[in-house]
Amino acid sequence: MDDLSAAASFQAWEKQASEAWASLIRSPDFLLAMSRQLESSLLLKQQLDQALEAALMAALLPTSTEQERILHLIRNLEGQIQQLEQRVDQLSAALTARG
Amino acid sequence: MKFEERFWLPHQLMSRASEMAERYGQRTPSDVIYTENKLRVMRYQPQVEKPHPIPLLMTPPLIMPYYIMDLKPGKSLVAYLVSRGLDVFMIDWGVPDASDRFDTLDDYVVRYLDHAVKVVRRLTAQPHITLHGYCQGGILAILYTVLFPDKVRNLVNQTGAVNFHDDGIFSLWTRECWLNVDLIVDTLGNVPAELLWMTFQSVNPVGAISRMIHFYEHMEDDQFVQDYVAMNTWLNHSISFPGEFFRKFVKDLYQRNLLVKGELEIAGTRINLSAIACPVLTITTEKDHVAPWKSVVLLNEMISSQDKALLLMKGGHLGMTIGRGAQDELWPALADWVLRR
Repeated sequence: MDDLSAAASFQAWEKQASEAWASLIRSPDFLLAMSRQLESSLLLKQQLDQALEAALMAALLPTSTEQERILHLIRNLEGQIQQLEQRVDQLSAALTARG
Repeated sequence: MKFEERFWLPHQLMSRASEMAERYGQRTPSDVIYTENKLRVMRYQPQVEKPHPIPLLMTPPLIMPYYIMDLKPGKSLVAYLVSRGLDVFMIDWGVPDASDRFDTLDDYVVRYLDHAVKVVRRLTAQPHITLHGYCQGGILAILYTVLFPDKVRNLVNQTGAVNFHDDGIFSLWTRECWLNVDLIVDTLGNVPAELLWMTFQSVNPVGAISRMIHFYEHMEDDQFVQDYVAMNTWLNHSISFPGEFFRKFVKDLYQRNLLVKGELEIAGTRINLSAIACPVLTITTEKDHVAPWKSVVLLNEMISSQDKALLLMKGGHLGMTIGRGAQDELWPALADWVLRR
């Protein structure tokens, strides 16, 4: 097979494969299978997380979600302080400029 | 090149891919002018004595790195805009960690984006800016312009959709019957980068095979290899999606299509697109598989701006920004439009 016919064959394959794939990923059967697979994996993880959470609670230890929530609140406060500092700096500069 | 040499060349190239990405992925010189949590705002060093007075703030999507707009020398929209005399600023949303799962869509618009706009206005002593948003960043820019019209002099929306019920693949995949958003966010927190990467790859795996074959055919061309490495480094650099942002983004936009219905609420305010009255440039492409062009163009029909323009490009979602035609079409058209205002 020469280069030209190889390229033509590849292009034909590429077109057909693209069309077949585009049709597959829109088919209800494919979507249902993907959806079920994702959901079952997530449900399994959720059950494991719940078991771990119960164990941590029994040991009076915070869960990772609780720690993340606290860190999020701290970061929010940090952001607000940063904004206030900038505002104070601006006001100070304005007052200095006025003498 | 002998067959044995050709056989081992991909391995040799890939074994030094990170070194090449570092070398070829040089960014346009910039200074970080603001940081907050993971957010960074960068200002590119001007190349003219007196840059255009209205600063341009570029807003990338959250889930892909900002440097698609500044990929490498010769493939950089940012470098072009700077060379045309614009004062360019860029948002880098950064990589969210587990604690950022609680950041909502509202937080990104009224907090992070507003703080970035505030610092740009202060630094340039300008009352308003030109806001550019790319893809998901375009949606954030649209929402911001509705909420803070006094701060946005011009809006450039590049492939940010306003309608989410269309024939696009993501419109189908995110339907309530196929995607349980609450289960994903409640179980995983942030949506992992790997899951997003796999989702995007699943849209067109044949394209990935074609790119590999194309690479094999051109791997003796140094310029081609440089571009390929830079582009693939970017493509493989997915970023996880903050959980609560994802929940609202998918439920309110994709599943309920609230933006186009005028029923979306951000920080307690209803988003009415007709509130946008500033000059608007909408940019989209005919073959966009992420944001179908009709869903992007609809913005221009829903706003009340008198000065509005549409650029309908050829190529795909990414090609329009860094493809071969970008330097001749998109970049000058974008710069001209902004410089005239």
